Amino acid sequence: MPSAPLTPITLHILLALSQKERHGYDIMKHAEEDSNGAVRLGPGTLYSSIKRLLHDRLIEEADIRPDAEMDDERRRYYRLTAQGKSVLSTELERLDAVCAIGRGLDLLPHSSFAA
Amino acid sequence: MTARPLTARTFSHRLYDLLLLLYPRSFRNRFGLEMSQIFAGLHHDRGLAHAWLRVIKDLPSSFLKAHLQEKVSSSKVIRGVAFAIYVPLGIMFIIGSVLFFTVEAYFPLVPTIDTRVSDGFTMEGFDAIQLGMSAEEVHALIGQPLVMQQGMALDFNGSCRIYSEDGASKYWDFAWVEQRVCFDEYGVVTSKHSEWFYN
Repeated sequence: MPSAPLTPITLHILLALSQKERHGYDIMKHAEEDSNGAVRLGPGTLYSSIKRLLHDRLIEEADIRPDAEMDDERRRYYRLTAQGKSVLSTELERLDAVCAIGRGLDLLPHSSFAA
Repeated sequence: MTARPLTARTFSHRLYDLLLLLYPRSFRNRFGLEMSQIFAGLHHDRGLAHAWLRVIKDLPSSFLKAHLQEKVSSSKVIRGVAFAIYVPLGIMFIIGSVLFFTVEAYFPLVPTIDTRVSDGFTMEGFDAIQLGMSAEEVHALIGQPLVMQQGMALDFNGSCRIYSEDGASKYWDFAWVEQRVCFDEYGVVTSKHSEWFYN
């Protein structure tokens, strides 16, 4: 089980899976969107990371299969495990604490939603 | 009409499948098909050049990482890295040179030779389509589409109708043009696209 801090790739894969099951290409697109283009995964890097996350039991393959009429039925979907959610929450709390330090030092705005 | 498959085996897709042989067998058996699907998705959504650039950037490091995960001996890794970098680059250089000096020189920049359009489709009709038009108005202008996309094939609620596709020419082609009109869930035009795909 990885200890914090997580790598940006791992963090964004876990974030992409935090709301629903996704297939690999969907994970790749969401990681890119969520990071404003900073995390641009290639297929090899994505599946090396997925393999490690499967091994660490932070994610698992979901049972769902898309309807052949709607999508490629051979796609595999992945989802977060309870352990994965716990690791993600721990990492987000750690990042939040770091941001709090930054705000205390006036290195960050005091509110993310400030005009 | 059925959703358009993303796994059409173009030459590039077959070349990418060959490159997957560079990964360890167990890794390839487990994830190879999904990696091919991603390559096809990148090709479909962002074009062939983008798909190859991303693969070329990704291949050496991910190949190394996959082999290290498999605990392959270091000498095999070094030989594998050299093979992974230089062989694909050499192959692509040769193929690119052949394409540039033969195909493009033969039919320079005429993608329409390889574009098959639906019955009733005209560029004048396509150009006349305006945002906010209904599906019936679009049908009156350019007829039935070749392919209908909807559901999970798209990342929004609605549908896209594709009026042209690859395949008009078997030889001497290098690109084709996709004409696509997208509708929201109420059947109102939200966008139209005319995009080149290189093959």
